Amino acid sequence: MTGLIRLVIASALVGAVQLSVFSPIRLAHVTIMLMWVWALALGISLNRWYATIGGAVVGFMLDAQSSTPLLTFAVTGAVVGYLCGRLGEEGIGDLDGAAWWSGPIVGSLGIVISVLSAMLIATIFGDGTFWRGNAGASMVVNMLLAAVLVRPVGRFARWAIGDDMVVHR
Amino acid sequence: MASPVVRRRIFSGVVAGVIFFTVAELTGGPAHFLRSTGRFVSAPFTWAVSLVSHPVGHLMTGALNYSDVVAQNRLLREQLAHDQMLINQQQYQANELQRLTASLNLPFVGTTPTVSAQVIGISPTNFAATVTISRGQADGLLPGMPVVGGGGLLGTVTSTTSHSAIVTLITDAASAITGEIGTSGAQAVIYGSGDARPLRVTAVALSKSVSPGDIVSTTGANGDLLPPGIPVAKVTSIVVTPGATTYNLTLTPLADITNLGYVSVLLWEPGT
Repeated sequence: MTGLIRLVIASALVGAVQLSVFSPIRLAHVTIMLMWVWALALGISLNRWYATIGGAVVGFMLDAQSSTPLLTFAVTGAVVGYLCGRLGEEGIGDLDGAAWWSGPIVGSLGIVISVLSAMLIATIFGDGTFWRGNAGASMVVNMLLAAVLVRPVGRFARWAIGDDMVVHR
Repeated sequence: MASPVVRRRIFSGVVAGVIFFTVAELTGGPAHFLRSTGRFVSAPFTWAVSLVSHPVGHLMTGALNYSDVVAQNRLLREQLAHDQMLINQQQYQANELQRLTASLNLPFVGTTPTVSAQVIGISPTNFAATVTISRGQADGLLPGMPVVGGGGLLGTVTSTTSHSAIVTLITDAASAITGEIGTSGAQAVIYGSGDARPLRVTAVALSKSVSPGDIVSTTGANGDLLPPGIPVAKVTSIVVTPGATTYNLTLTPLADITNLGYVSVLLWEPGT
């Protein structure tokens, strides 16, 4: 239970950093999506359920401030967190056993899935405009950032939330 | 027969559900309630992080856009000096405009009350082109009202809280505005293509004469959602496909949408 509380608080802080620091910045007209990196990092460093919840919490904070359909980013964060958590639990890209380069690859591929999921979920929720925006550029920029950040953010997540939440592999 | 514990849980669940939906309905629907609750709960975290991160954010923004900032600063200084010189002339022109407006019967200029608002935030993602402004329902803002500034239409109010509102910009991929191109009389729908991308118009009849530099303005015809005569964008290029009976246009917004500081909301509703 304590781990869950720590997860929610850490995720809320990451959401706040996203909104306060990264959302106002555009890199090549693209927003740096720390929230997706967070969900991916939770997946490779902890377990699938923590990644799902963490992704949903950060996503919901973004949803609350956004004009896009409610829960678009919360569901995206949850889906991406879950999928990356599954990979982490299988030992693919995880911080403990996998090769150092597999984490960045999982992170980059996770961003592709994140953007596609966001587009698909927004469409399901009735907003088809994600397909016409800067989705391609968003993918490229955030893939590069995720490749660099996913392991450090994963280590931070483990430090902030606790080693006892790492799934038994 | 369910055990007392299970019955108690079911009862508690039903009571919680009834309370949730009652409160949600009273506060404008479940989606509005959830969004407002989300903002309320996340506000302390955002505030705390903002307090610490503002210098970091400014440093990052400054570092990433240093040359832009210097260029903008120089431009603003020149503009300020120029504007200072024009202030006295503008006073005279304002009086003239009022007289002309009355005689030309342009309903939105001068007569429509406006509310000035500060831009306090931009869309948290690049999937929507929106800004948040510092005025809301308490100031008379309603969804659908046009927002202008910097020489043209910026967008429309899409949602409001008591003291803030989200404005969907004309560049948003969901934006579609009816307009009239220059003096050609050609009616067109101006579509947004996403954050920092040009506007576009499709299927303009070849019989209509359009040239680069033409200004596209709102029409206000047939119960349009926007008042007539608000300049929106300038035609920058014309694309003609061989054999087609229509051509497509690319437009640039007249207002500098990437650097918004203050905007004006026209307290205008269709039919007023």
